[in-house]
Amino acid sequence: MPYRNRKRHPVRRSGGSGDVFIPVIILLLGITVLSLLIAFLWQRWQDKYDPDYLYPDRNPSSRQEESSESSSAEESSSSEPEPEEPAVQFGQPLPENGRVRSEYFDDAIFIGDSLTTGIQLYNILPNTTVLASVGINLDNIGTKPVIGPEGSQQTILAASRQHDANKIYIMLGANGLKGLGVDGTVKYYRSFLEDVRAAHPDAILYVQSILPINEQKFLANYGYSMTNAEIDECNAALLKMCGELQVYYVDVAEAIKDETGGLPAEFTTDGLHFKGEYYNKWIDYLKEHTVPAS
Amino acid sequence: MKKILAAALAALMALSLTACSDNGDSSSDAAVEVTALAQEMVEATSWNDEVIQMNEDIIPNYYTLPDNVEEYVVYLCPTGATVEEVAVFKISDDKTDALETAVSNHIQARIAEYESYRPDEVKKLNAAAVKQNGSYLAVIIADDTAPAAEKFDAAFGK
Repeated sequence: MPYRNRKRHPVRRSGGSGDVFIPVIILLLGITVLSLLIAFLWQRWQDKYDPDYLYPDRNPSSRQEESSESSSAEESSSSEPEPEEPAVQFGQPLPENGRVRSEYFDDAIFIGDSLTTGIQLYNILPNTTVLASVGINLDNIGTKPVIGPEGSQQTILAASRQHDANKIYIMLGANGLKGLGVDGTVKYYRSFLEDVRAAHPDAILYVQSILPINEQKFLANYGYSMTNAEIDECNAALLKMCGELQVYYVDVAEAIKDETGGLPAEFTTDGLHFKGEYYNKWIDYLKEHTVPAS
Repeated sequence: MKKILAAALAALMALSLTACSDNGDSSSDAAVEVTALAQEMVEATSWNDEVIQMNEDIIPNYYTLPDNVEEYVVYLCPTGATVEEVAVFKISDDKTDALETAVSNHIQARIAEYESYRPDEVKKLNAAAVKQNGSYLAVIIADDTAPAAEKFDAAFGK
């Protein structure tokens, strides 16, 4: 009996060590899987505001900024006719043209009023340059110093000269439309565009349509009425102006309008400004309406 | 030997988890206090529109901060519809003069922006609450600044 015990003892010890080791390995594997899962969920959370992440497969075949080397190689090796690029005509809204990535806006400037400041405040396109100011209007944008630190503020146009921009997006007109009227708005807009073109002769200029409002909330908050019909009338005049100046017109209002042609009440506090979700709609539209690469 | 291996693997795993959790946040305890205090003040206040924490890169567009500001958190209304705001600053000494000037300039700049645009918002700017305790200073711009002010006082045992 004692002999048997002495023989079994080492065997029992060996089995006990395995009993400890296997659960440890299982535990470590579990922790590894859990870590990977947490990392994956964290990455998803971080990317939640990037529309590229939200819509990764939208028009994937027509993205402009994918590798130019691979696309040119495909072109040279293929005997099939090249797909037709969407026709771009000045005096017409830019048609849909695939989808560019956020990097497209690396060398862009966004010029505008409080609506445009939201691009920066919501951190929608952290890679781009926003030169915008609350309350800026077409009749003071050329003279009012609003960009830069106190004591050395510059006008938006002067500040834009410090950037070597290849694309300039402009959205102006909503603030002063009631006072300036359509003719006054177009007159000032034309003058400003000529100044921008002189400052940035090689940049692509995009004029964005004035965005719709919620008429009831606008009246309640601003104390005067403005209608979406008036905005549409002004946009039609801006489109005509863009045709004459050979400037691209992006009808981003199309992305913001609801079925009534206005801004839905639940997404605006004052009838004019809107919440982050609509900024994603805005930038999404811009990504899908660009000038075809030459 | 296997026990040593298991212990080594466990230590390695714990180290990797620690490295993951440290990613992007090297703030000190004091910075966490500023962040937490600002968040408490925001949560205590009734807002007319949303307010969100601003990216640090954007703050120089609104405040010309003096060199002795070592930590700050600013919440603003990103839609532009309101001037509502909570800002909490911590300076490295107790000399608040320069920071108070920066705050005053900021409020005056906001008034200039909104006075011909949304005059109702200017009332909030004129009634802005500026609270100070030691090296901490807070700005509250809202219809009712009292709840956030109470949170600020409570953080210092008042």
